[in-house]
Amino acid sequence: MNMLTRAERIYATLLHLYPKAFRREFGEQMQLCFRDAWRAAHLEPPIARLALLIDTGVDLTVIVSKQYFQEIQHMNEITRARLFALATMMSGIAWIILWVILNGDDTFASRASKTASFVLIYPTIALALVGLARLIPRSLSSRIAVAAGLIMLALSLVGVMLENWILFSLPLSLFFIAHAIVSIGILRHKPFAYLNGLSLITFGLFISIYIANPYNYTEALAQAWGTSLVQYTSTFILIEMIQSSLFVLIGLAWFVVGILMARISKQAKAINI
Amino acid sequence: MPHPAPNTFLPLSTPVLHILLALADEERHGYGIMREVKTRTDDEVRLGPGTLYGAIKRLLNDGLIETSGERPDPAIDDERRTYYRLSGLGAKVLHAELDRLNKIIAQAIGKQLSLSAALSIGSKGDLTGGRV
Repeated sequence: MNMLTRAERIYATLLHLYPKAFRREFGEQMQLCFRDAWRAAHLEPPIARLALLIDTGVDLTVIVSKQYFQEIQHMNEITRARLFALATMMSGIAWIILWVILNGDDTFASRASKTASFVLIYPTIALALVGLARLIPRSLSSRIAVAAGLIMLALSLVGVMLENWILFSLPLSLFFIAHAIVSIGILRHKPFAYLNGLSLITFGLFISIYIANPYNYTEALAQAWGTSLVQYTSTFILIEMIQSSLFVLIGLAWFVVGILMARISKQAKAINI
Repeated sequence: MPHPAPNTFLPLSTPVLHILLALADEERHGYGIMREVKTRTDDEVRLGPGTLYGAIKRLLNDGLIETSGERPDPAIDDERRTYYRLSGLGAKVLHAELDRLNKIIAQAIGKQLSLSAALSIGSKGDLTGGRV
């Protein structure tokens, strides 16, 4: 297989990232475009191919998300609500599984990972319940959502207090404040959709930055090297890194949900963010 | 149904303006548009396939361009290619946008002339002041 064919095949595979309708309508034409551009770049110095790959990568990233946003904007309210519900439920389920896995084993789960999972589990359950409530096509669903959310908010408050002897001067308390806003925002999705979206974005970013902090890895390494090397092997470090990476991914997923919500809300549309 | 007024589509985004300009003189396929824009702008505007077809989708929906069944050069052409051409409305929108840009450029030129005149007067004043 030569370079040309490989690049074209990779691009054809990446086209599957686009929404199905868009891909069906324009996928083949886009593939032809890339093929021609790639072949033309081969007639120029190698830097032209690199430039084309970078351009195409940026183009793909930006336009794929844009096409999904446009699809969401054209959905009706019920479909949007269901999409939102599905996203929140999936994130909730993912968190619950992760939390159980992390907290089920004291040997491998580091303190930082456990704390993060502990703090984040409650709003995620709240999100999942609210998502579930939104699937029920009755007015009662909003009441269930509010009740569930408030219970989970209270639980998260108690949880954070018990775990960290909450002090608002601690950076960790920002987690609490953030997920309190998120929970309230979710409960009143429509009127506060914009704020809700922004808070989710901030929340997701904060989690990503906090969890991605090299300190977590350093801590894992220190634990591994500082204690018995017989007990803590490279498997331990690997598991630590996988765990931290999962947190980063989930943090980024929150970020995406935040953008999604901000984009689909009417308020966001009005101020054109 | 009557077409919306051309002004309702303004201002055009950069990719859309360049795509309409590329189609102003002849029908082109996607890569033809990409290449024409790249050449005409001295490589300053480069449209990726996603950007191009995202814009084409909107332009088709708005009725500013349309697909063409004709193949200008069938001997060397790939049959799978779709050619696009400017619609009547698209041409009107392009002209309206160019008029709008022309006015802005005219205003900018006007200001530049005024600025030159002011600078000229200013430098004379300085000279005079120096003598006094």
